[in-house]
Amino acid sequence: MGKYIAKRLLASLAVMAIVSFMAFAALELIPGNAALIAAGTEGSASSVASIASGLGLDRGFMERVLIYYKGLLSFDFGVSSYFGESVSTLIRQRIGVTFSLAFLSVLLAFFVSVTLGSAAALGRGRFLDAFSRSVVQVFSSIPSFWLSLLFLILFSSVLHWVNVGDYVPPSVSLKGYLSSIIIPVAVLAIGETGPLLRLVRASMIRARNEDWYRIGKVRGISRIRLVMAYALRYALPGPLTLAGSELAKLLGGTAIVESVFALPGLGRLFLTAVEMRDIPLVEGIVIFVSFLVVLMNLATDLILFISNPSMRKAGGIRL
Amino acid sequence: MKKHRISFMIGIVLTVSAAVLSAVSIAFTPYDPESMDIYNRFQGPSSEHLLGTDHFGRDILSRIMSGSLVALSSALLSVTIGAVLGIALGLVAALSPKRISGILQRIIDALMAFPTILIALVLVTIAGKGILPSALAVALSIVPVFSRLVYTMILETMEKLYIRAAVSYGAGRFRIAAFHLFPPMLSRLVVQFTASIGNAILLESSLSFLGLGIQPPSTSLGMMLSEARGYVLTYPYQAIPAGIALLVIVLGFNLLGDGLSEVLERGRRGRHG
Amino acid sequence: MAELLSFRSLCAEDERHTILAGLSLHVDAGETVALVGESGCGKTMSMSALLGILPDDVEVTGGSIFFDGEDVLAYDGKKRRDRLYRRVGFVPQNTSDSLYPLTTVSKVMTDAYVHNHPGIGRKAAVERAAALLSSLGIEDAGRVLSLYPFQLSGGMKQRVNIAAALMDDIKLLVADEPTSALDIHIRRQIEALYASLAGRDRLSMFIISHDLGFVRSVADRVYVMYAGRIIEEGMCDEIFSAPVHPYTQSLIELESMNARDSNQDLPELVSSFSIPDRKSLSCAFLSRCSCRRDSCSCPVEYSRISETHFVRCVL
Repeated sequence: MGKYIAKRLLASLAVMAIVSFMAFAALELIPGNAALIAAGTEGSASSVASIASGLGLDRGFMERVLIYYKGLLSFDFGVSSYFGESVSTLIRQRIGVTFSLAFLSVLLAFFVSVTLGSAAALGRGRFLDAFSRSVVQVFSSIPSFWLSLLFLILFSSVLHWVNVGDYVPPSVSLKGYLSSIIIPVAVLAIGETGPLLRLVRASMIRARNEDWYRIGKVRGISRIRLVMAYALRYALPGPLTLAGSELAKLLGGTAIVESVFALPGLGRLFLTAVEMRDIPLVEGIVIFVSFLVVLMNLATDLILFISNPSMRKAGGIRL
Repeated sequence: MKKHRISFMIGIVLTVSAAVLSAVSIAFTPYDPESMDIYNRFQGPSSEHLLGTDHFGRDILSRIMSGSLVALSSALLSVTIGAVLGIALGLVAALSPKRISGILQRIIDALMAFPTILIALVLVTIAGKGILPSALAVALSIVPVFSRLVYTMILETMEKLYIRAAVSYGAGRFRIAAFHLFPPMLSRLVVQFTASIGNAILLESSLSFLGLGIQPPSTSLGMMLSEARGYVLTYPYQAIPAGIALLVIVLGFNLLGDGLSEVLERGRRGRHG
Repeated sequence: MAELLSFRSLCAEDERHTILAGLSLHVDAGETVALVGESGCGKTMSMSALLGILPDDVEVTGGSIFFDGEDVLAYDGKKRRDRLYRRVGFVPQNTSDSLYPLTTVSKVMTDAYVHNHPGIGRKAAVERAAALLSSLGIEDAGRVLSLYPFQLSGGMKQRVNIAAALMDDIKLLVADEPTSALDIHIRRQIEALYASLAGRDRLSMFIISHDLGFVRSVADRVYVMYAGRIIEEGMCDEIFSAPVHPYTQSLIELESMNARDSNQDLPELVSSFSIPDRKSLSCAFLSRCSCRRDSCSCPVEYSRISETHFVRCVL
């Protein structure tokens, strides 16, 4: 078991190294390097040069990679050229909003998917199943930005429930906070429900076709108990993994919703960084998010590993 | 059974009509999609402008038609590029020695675990705005899907008894690949290709929505919605037609992909008893 | 003797085929009855119909199944649980997939029991499970209870399944192919185990098997099934020493040849298999029968040979 965890950790570290290197190298390729962009169109050659040396651009590539990695160890992503602040501070200020959005929407989508998916797979009604299939199809075909606009029209200008652009931090007012993020959370949750619901339904149908499900019935276990205590536990690892990786993806994928609903999160920060060609900031966010993604996937894997007796006893799946 | 066939039919009807409508837009649109008519802006649907006009008085129907053409052709381009690269990467990963295949797989996994929009944005940062960078970004998001599919399919098939039998009686690599590996893969690749088009259209329109894709005066459905965003409070209607068009096209491809996989799956089961 | 279980002209079909074509048989209290026949003849379906676990596309189209004087097919879910499942134990064919993989044997065996007997705590249930395992010849029952199903050997899984079926005070034990997929050594042990269960006074057994050697050593009475109905029934001795139906004869011949030497030529039976029209009243076995004659095409009656021996053949 320890061996499995160690192996898995090493693999994650390797992925983190690969991704951060790729991001670093890719952004080096940008035509017109960071110093030119930071100096702006007015910048003279000497100011470009001084900015370049400030950013360490006058050193060799490998040397810069090493310096960058050294900074990473102490959560130092450098300084944003547009904001003039340290990248890690900017990230720290914004991550809370994005995390609430991502976490709450995945939670909501997971809850809806498990309820609807198991009812559809195990209920006798054909209607529920057809309904859940349609939900999967339509939800995974709606563009999230359009849905955002529709919700904006409906809840803001027709029903006057929410005001856009008034983000309230939870520390100020919990009610205000919830009402400022509820609509974006719903938009994101609808996007996540498609793939999750599809997987829950498929896993539950597979569980129902297992021998132990039929036998459990004959042993006198009630249908409800078979579904809630047996089939769900058997079917959930897949959807849980998916929810974990979707959560991780959302941490870097809320840009559109944040931009439409004017929420001060990581996604919007990233859009600004791209728009302003703020290389250190783009780099920092990409690497930060990639680390989150890797760690999140590692955590889901480990949870699954610990919850599955045959893997736990046998010392892990083949990597 | 029957229900699946109905949704498959709906998928075919939606995609074919989207394709026809956008093909027609090459030769004919009711109005020039780019010509402005300030006196007739913010018009609702009428006999002159079937779907009304936008904030510059441009005909929304014409813009949807030519926007669909952009969406479809750029999605087709992206998915083709992505599929070719992905299949190649998957093949290499599956057939190369264990150590290299391990590294390649890590890279595929990393790409897969990554938010596609983030990858796209990085690419746009590097290559600049425009239709080609955004098409490339979309293609890049398609790559891991195909390489993982090819990789697992090859490993699965290699384990099958009939392949082992073929190897044992001395069939060459090429023969095995051509006669045993490829045919069963082909149908699943076709399904994946169709399903990916829907996703590609969604991603491309998201990039356009953020103003990072195709640039004016050309149009795309995402850009139309981005423009409509400025008038959500005063003229919410403008956000409706293009969104529905987008939804219908993506839904069409998703239904088509699902239906195809159902049909091919059933065909496979039928052949082998 | 009192009749415990009876199938009365049970018919079932799926979208394309007739599966059961008027199946009738009965099991008396205390008796061990075997149902034999080739795979595909409907043995497993008859058992699934009794237990209410027919596949989705199979439908009962006629007849009834009575257990302890009540029509089982008329039960709703709760009644089936209270009246049927708590008095019938079931040992499935594939014993390795039949145990829930994510919990220990102890939980697998006691979960239903604890929930159906509100007065009994988990601890008492586990003690009962341990006692049952010991009575089935498992020495370290405590350790087995703490294992997960995937850690058990094939023979152990069989015993755990039998023990789980015996958790309630059942009247009838239904076993589906208990000896298939076991190696010869474990087969002997399981055979002995079933023989000792058959000796229990208040327990009836209904065993589905194509393993005639096993059937001969445990069964009191035997039904031979072909194409969805019974073609011959009789006491174990009658069937094995004086089979009447050509199909039964060839089954038994096959078995004895298998026991002696498996390299000899097999009789006609294995060479051809066709699915006959199960609805027709003439002999379903006709096309494969080596002793057919002109009168075979007439409708066949179920005729009596002795007090207990019946056959569906014009011979």
